[in-house]
Amino acid sequence: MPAAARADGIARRVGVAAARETKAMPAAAGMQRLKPASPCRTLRPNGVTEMPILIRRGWETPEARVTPESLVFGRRKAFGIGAGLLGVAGAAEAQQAGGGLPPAMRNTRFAPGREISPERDVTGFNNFYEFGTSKSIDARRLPQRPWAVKVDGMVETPREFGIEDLLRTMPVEERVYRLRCVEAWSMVVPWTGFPLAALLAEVKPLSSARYVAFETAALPAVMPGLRQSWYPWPYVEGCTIAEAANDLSFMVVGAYGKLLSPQNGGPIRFHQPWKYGFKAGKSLVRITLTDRRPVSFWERIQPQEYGFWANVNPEVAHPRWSQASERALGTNARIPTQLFNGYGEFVADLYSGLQNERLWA
Amino acid sequence: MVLRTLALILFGLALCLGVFLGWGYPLGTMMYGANPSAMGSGQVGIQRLVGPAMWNAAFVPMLSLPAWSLPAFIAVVFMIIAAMRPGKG
Repeated sequence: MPAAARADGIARRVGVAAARETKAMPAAAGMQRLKPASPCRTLRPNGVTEMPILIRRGWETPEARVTPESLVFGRRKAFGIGAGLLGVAGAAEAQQAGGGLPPAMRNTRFAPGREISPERDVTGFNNFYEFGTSKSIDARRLPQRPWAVKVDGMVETPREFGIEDLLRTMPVEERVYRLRCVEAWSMVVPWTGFPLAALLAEVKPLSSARYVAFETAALPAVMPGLRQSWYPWPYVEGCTIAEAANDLSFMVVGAYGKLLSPQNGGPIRFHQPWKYGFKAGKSLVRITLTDRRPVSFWERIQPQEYGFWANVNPEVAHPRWSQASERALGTNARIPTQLFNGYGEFVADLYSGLQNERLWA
Repeated sequence: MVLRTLALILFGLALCLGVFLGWGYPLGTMMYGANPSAMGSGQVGIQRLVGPAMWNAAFVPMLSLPAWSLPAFIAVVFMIIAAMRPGKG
């Protein structure tokens, strides 16, 4: 980005921040009647002095860490020859055309504050009851292509999205999230995916839609767990439309820079990191917007233990074990569990006025 | 006599289950319908105390059998025991 443009962008942000500051705290601004002490300060006609404050959003990168313009536009030289660059780009395109994961930048806004769990542990220790009750299930028989996700219900334009279309059109990025299982173990995974809100924007939810239901595939030919026919298959989970619109709500299509493996819920799953892991439906085939609260799979089976909200809270124990701490996959270290799994700053406001709900189970 | 009586009652129960629920209605579905929480807790308990393999290998096949088969099986066992204990059944 040219330096002038960058400066212009900063100036605009500063202007916005200053305006927001002044609007939010007129009394405080009125208390300071100082002469301008620096070129940054402006003196308004009423004598009020304003100090522009740059408030960075969490995902913004400091200017000092921006790649120099010369390096960006001179990368052909850096790579040696232009043909080399074309080759790299061609390989990336070929990977995507062949069903690979598109290149994704890591979003640093949601830094987990912990080491990423070893890939081997994440793919080898899992709950996916459609494939059995063991933690080391083998889901390789689940066909990943072709795969489509239907988005319907209370939307203006119900649609069916092919997985390749989603990979090509959605704003794919990488986010490193903590995942806290209700069974008191946890992991940190670099997921690749896109915000659920981006997908929902494609179908234009109606204003009457209040909940979102997620339905997992039910393929008896490859899912031996479905032989337990007495359970209420397919696996259904849900959240409110406000929770779905939260920026943390993430549709996952990859992990560790690769396409999402079947045992982790490939080719597409859902994840809300401030909730217990069972809320995250795997291998999704349908997303339905509705005005009725979905009754989820585990809520049907054991409603006293697994509720609709299932937000992480270390102070509310499961009926059969404590939730105060968790075992980190990989290190097996026992670490304290955080309220909302540490994502309270992003989601706590979603639950104001809901004190009478069972928010923690 | 007691065992034979119990066996007859169980045979009657098996007949009722078959007629009213259907001859292919799974035992697990019937138990889940009667008490979903108990079924879920039972599975979790078996998996934790005995192991997931036992649930998958023994309980899932048993619960997948028709509902009438369990009382019928127990009735047959009672009849066999009664037959092996002449005069005391």
